[in-house]
Amino acid sequence: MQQPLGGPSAIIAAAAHELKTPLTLISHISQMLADDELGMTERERLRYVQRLQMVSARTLRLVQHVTLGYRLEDATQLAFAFALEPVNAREVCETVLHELTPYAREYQQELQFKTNVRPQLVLANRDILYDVVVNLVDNAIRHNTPGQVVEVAAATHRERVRLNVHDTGENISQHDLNRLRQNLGAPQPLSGHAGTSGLGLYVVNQLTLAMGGSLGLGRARQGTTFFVDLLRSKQLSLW
Amino acid sequence: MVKSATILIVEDDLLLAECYERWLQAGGYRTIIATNAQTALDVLDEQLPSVILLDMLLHGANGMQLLNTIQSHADLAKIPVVVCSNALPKHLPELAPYGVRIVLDKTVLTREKLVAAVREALL
Repeated sequence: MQQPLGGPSAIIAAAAHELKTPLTLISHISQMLADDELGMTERERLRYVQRLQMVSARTLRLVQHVTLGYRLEDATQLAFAFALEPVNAREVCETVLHELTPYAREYQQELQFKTNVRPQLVLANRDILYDVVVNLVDNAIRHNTPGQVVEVAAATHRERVRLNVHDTGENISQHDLNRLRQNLGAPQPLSGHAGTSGLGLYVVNQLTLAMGGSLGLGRARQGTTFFVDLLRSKQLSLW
Repeated sequence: MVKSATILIVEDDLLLAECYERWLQAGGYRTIIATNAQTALDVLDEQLPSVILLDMLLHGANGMQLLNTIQSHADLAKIPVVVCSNALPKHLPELAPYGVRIVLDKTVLTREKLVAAVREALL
């Protein structure tokens, strides 16, 4: 397992940085809801309450990442923390997309899952794979161009299954791309990607490595694609 | 008249932008939202707002780049800017040459503070 650079202080700094945005949102939306002078209708209030729930859920996901970040400090402990088993990657992706669709719509985006093969069984831990996909899709939603689609795709490559998460947002510079590829084992901010500390990507990388997989990324004509390669399960599929 | 002033809100988080819009409209101001620097420049091509409310950490070109562009146009450089950000690496004296009149800490912002800052920037 790749050891994180910077240690706990880097994780705390990254977490504090990333938590500021959703906590600020929660604070501001709460103020609006309590403010009778804004003249909001009941329908508008309800909409903001729903937004509050979504932002709270995102904040909790971030806190979960911080917790995972600490656990990832001790690779040995992590190796025993969960078991690998055959997991249906397609089902995990579809669950994540279903759960994050309301959140994406708040950002005027759609989520789409594409696969041209039958459900793929990968060697993974379902909960951990769920965290990996949630993190990548959440990241893509925040960086995607409004009105565009975040596309999640699954494809089989020989002994591996590749999960792609593509956004059409601001292109990562070649400098940042090289830096990320060389050093995914530490939280690191990206220029042009506001409010990010790289904590989520660091967690995704460590979790993917712990499942025997690998994380990669590439630039498209418009946007960025992150991909996770996982081992195909040898267990006979019933599909 | 101050109360009819138009405020350009440059904020890449739509929820926050909507919040500031509601607060400012309740204060009697008209508002325009731009969720990135390029859209802000497109708006500025069409009309001159009375104040620009600017988040510094934007996706793509950031607030500092937008401030630089604004300062390079004589008509835009006169527009007072209120910076509102979670990350404030520069203090007001350093931002003042870029037309920034007031710096607000987004994490402790309230409707009253925002409206008071815009009112002050308009003076």
